[in-house]
Amino acid sequence: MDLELFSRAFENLRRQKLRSSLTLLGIVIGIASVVALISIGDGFNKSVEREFEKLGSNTLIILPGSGLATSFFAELDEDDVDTVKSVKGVENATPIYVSSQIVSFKEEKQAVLILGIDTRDHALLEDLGMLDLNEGRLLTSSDNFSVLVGSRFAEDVFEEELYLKQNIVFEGDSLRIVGITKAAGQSFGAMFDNAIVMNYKALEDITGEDLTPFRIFVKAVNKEEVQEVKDRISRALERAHGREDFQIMTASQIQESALSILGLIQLVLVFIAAISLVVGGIGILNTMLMAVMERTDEIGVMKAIGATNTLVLQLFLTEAGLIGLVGGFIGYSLGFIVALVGGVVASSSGVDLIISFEPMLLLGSLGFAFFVGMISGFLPARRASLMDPVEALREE
Amino acid sequence: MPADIIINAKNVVKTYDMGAVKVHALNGVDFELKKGEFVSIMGPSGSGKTTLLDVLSVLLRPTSGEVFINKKPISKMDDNELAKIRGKTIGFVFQTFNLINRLSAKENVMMPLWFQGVPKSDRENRAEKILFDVGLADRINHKPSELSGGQRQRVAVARALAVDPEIIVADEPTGNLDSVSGEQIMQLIKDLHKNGKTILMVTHEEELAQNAGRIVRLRDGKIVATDVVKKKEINVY
Ligand SMILES: Nc1ncnc2c1ncn2[C@@H]1O[C@H](COP(=O)(O)OP(=O)(O)O)[C@@H](O)[C@H]1O
Ligand SMILES: [Mg+2]
Repeated sequence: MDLELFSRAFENLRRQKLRSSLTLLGIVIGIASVVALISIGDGFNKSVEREFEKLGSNTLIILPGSGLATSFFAELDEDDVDTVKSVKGVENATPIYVSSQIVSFKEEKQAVLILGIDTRDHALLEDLGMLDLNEGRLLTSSDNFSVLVGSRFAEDVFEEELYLKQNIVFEGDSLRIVGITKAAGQSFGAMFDNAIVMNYKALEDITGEDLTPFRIFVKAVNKEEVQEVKDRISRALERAHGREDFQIMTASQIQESALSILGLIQLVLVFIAAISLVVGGIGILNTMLMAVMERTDEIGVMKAIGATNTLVLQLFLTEAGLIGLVGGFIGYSLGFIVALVGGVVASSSGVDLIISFEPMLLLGSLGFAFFVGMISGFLPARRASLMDPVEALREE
Repeated sequence: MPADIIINAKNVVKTYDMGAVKVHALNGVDFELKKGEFVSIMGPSGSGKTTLLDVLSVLLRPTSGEVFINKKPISKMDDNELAKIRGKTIGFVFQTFNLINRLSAKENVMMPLWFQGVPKSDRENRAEKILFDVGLADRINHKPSELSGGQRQRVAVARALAVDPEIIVADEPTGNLDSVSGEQIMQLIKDLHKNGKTILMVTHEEELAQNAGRIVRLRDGKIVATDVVKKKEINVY
């Protein structure tokens, strides 16, 4: 590669900075979308992977309702948990109950989520990464007025931070905080982060409600058998309910559905990126056409004093490529910032996005932007290279 | 012993096709330029001087006829090869200077050296030296717009000399200059000839044409006379 070509092309661009900078916009947006898209997609994949590392690929989740119509009415019940536990290939199963309630701390009242768990299944819950103690102790089956709170809950819900051994008042009863769980940062863990956790029997007693499981978490003996276990559970529950008013999700299924949402976002971004790149390309084409016209006499001089058509072509292609490159660099930076911001926003709503700097993505964006610039600049550059020097010099 | 013929034109015709009308700028011109010669091309405006100069300096392809550069026919060469010949063997000086206004004097002079693949530091040294030789040592980094007409033309001469070409081709080099600057440029060209350069110059001033060893007179695209100038001056060699 001829370095002189680059410095010459760069010099030429510097002298028409405003027009070039307007031209950049399309490329910037295009590359920024692509970079944001890839970074977020990557981050999402990584976090989904990480989540399932914790949850384990031998985990199944049963939820009530099979479709939109039945999901409002369908219920799971306590017996279902026993049914599931007795299915061949199931190691263990545990229900999670959910209730939305008003609790108070000191003078302050807040609407919060209370999760009911079966304390006998601590091992499984821990295994699933939902009950990771930060301080204090776990619950026992006799803990009727003792609760755990998530670390996020402890910090954020009330004006004052909650500590161990403090009491929260719920329906006139004092609930004592005996443990605080660690921040989990992934979807189910995040639910525990933001809630009060207690014995589900005690939750039913205090509220007087007859709760039904919100989810049943199932652990298969081995992960090769997950599909078979799923089918067996499905048959057992269908027999018990008389119809299929439940859904069973496996880790790989959850991953797929998460990725399909991501796929939709990606599609939109790809669309934006494609349009911006086309617009940017046309912008570069236009800028280069104007440059070639304005510099007709210069091209004439260059050719008269010995510049070959090839060199003129290369010079203008390089200029166009450089416009793309600069746009690519700005676009990359912007896209990466968007991804970082997206990561922060996503995290605050419970979805963990792991945004990391990938040198290959930077190089790829720059190379791609340079390429887009060169493609867009091809026609103008060709026109410049084929100019007749005498004609070009004649124009004033 | 016959001198080497650098440029040889045989029955050159150049016709500009303007759609409805055809302009016959050159109507069968034969011409030889020998190494070390100084030839002036004279003629009234529109007689085809510039066209002939452009054809002889392989900037323009003739409609018919052939031009040989160092015995090689240009009709067999592609545009890139012609550009290389121009870049290496011919130095151009134009009536309107044709400097690149965005670039400094030095950068203008460096440009043809870039086309010849001369490394950057060598280009700078050479450009500075030549600008010094043409008396512009203190204007090296000035833009053309910061220079007088005479100075601009000297930059153009410096640019023409940068690659040390065999031939200097000048199309009315003093046409846009005042008489003092014009004389200085003319002196520069005469010095170049004395130092061995082959000179091909278009002018419509008889007095300037007399500096050459031979004057070719054009009218309506044809050579109507060739005068050999008798040397009144004392020859240096
Ligand atoms: N590119 C061109 N297109 C059409 N006609 C041209 C072109 N260049 C020169 N001519 C015509 O050719 C003739 C010779 O022009 P030129 O060589 O420039 O003459 P001179 O330099 O002697 O004034 C003129 O009639 C001019 O109008
Ligand atoms: Mg002329």
